[in-house]
Amino acid sequence: MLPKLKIALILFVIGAVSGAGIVGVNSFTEDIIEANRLREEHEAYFDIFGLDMPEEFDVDEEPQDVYCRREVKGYDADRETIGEIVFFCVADEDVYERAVAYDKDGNRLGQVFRVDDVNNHGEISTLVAFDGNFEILDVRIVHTTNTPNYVQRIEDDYLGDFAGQDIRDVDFYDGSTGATITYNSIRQAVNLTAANAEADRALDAYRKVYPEADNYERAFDYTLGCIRYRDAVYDIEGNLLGHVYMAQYDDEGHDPIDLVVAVEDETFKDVVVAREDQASETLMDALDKYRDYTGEHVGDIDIAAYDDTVYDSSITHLLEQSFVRCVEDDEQRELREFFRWATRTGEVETIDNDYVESYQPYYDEDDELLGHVYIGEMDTSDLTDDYSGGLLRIKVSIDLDGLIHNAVIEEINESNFANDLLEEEIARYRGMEGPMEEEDVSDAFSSATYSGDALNTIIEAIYAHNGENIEEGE
Amino acid sequence: MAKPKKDPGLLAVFTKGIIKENPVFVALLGLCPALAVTSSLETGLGMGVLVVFVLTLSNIVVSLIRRLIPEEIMIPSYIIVIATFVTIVEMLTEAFAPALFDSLGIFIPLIVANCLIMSRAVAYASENNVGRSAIDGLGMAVGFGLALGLIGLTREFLATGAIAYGVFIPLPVEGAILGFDIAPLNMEVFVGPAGGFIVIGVWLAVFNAIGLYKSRKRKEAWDRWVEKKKREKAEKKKQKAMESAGGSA
Amino acid sequence: MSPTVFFVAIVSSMLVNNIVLLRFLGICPFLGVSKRSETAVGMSAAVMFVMVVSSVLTYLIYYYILEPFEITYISTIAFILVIASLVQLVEMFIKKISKKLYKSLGIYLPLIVTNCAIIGIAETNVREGYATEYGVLPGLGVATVSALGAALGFALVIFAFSTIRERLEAADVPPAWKGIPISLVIAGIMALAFLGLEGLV
Repeated sequence: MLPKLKIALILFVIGAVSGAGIVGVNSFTEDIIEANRLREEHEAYFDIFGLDMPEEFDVDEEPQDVYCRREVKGYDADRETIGEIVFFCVADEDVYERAVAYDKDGNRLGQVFRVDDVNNHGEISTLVAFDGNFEILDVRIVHTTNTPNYVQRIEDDYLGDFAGQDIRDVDFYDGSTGATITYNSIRQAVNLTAANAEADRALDAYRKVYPEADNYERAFDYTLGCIRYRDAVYDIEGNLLGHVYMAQYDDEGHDPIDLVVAVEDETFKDVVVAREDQASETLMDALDKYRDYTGEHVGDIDIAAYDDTVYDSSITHLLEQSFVRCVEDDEQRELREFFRWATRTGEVETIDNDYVESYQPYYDEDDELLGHVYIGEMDTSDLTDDYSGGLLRIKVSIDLDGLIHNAVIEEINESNFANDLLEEEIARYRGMEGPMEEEDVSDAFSSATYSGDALNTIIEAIYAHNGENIEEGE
Repeated sequence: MAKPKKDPGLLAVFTKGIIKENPVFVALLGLCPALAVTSSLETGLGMGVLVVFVLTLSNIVVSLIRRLIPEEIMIPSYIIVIATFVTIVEMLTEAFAPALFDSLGIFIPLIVANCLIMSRAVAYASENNVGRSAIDGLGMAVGFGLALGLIGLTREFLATGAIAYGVFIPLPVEGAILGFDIAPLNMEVFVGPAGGFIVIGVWLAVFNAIGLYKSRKRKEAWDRWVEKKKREKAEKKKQKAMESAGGSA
Repeated sequence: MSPTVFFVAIVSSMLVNNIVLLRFLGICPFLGVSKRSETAVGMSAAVMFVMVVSSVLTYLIYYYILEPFEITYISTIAFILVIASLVQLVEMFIKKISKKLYKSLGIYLPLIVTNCAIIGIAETNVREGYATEYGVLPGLGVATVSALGAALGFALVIFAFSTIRERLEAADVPPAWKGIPISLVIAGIMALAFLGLEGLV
């Protein structure tokens, strides 16, 4: 027993001493390691923009899942701000993160993208930094397990060539570098940055109109003309904030200008400069006066022929073009609501029928008849005395095979509760091939109001009429 | 009759680890790091430096406590001692040479499983006094580091045609020495795993060849010496015979 | 988590990232017990058992003890102790089951402790971040499977290597190259062949 106790005691003492040693060294190195980590992670970002190396860092990390944003402030020994780097997530999974750098006065210095890649030699993380003019400031490797000598050679001989080039049009060194795998990762990093830089620049511009903008979708790419894109802008929760037009004009009389024209529901909202490097005082002042039109319907705006600056004629042109696009787009959008491929409509035919008021043929771009859009109505207050309904008016598109493409309520006089139910009910018709059987009409709905029956009655009437139209069409 | 073995001097204890009992090339111990972290001279030497610390310190401590430890718990106790020093060295490296820490990666904690360290603890430090154990550990570790450096140098030069230094270990200087332009002849395979095996294999063969040559020479010298002795003996005999013949004459 | 994760893990750790030839772990037993294919198989079995069990244990210790107490910096010492005890167990077990196997594995069984493949896999499992990617418990599944794959890769390579070495003994090799040097060059050629599996998964 005693020898065993002795063994246990000795093991315990050895363990305790070694544990104490490790804890001691750990408490001594912990802070240095943490500082190293912070420094290692962030020093390249400060250095790349020519900022001094901060003595201290202050990391402000908002909850990642909500904002995905991290602010890192750098201070010198006297606790004076040196600069700030704000990190964002990037939707592109291949890009690790994006950061925007500001100097101590809050001036924006440029952006930097970090791309992490795993190649055949291990991991490699590359930073690609560029300024507001898309001019590459620096490309550098911040972490790699690739063979040091290749990395060294690439750093010495090739990375310097990137600086000063336009990120969107980079000349890569082609040929045998003797380290093509590593170099390919860098090439990929630069290309990814270029692809994402454009998108992020657009988002930055849209944030001037919608500060809460977080994402956008390209709603339309006009390949021709000075209006280049129509983008739908969304906030962080995916709510649509509005639509914007990206407009570009390159006139001989002045520098090229890129404008963002925001139009909501055919109402002019704002116009801003898309690129910061173009944001000269003259242009900003010139734009200011067009903001007087804010809130007016684009169809009513008659832009005054200003001639204060060289930009005025171009701005006027871009605004007009945007407004024209907007009206066109909205018309098209309305058409497409009923038949997806529709590009024009025929004449409205009014019918004298109980429940069907009129119909209108829709055609696609080859002038093929797609189907008809009916407007039907019924006054539900006629149905019963104690029912305080009213006029129900719907619009239904039916194609030549009798398939309902869309059905919407145009007018309704019900309680809010019944309104919501009716919206749900009419949605059920989309994709159906005819009116519902009586038992299919929603119970919950029909018991609450007569409008459910009315809806089905109208659609029955429309179908009765549609048969004739189809025959005609054929 | 065998003479009692002469106690080797401290210098011999130190140098035997470097040449005669080189852990990598002779004893074939610690080949994992010898292959894994020797894609360049500097990582190889860096690993060598860490092993110098761990092996010397663990040898000292093992030698200090060798009389206290019962036989049954010898291995576990030594493991704890070694693992403690590895952990401490790991933390210190991370704090003061983060670049080296990054490039050695998982092979720093793996020093704990390096056969070299355990074998020195069991074979030498548990039977010798503190001073000798320290010198033995230092010598072995230096031999290990030099071997790693040699392998790293070979692989780095064959693969890139240049030797970089001051990249990982915080040296005041930084750059490349021996920068010959052999770019078209670069053999990338030598930084890879295959190159590691082959370079060590070739170096082993070279050292074997030297060893064989030396032993052949020694044998020849021995043979010559035996021959000479024989001749001398024969001559002596002759002389004796002549003397006796002369005496009798 | 789809089952393909396990398949990818096993193929990746067995072939694409073979521990011996591409990650340089477990070189000592690779050279030490590969003279005869019999001992190679025995060693592989022991390694496989110790590797899988130890990676489960070390994983659980790391995520349920070390991390909650924020003492992950002692992971090395904790892992090596777990492995050492486990090896002791296996040694007693084999000693009971087969005297012959015990004799043939000889000195190498205790040396599993200093087989860096075992602790290397344990360290890799917590470093690869399976837990953050899949969650702690599903991550354990992936870690175990990739440990099994690594052990299978070890077995495959050491068996193939031992059969080569058996034939090599009869070959006419220059004296300086005899034994380990020529074996290392052959291992290098095997590693080259394994490089061809890159990109398999």
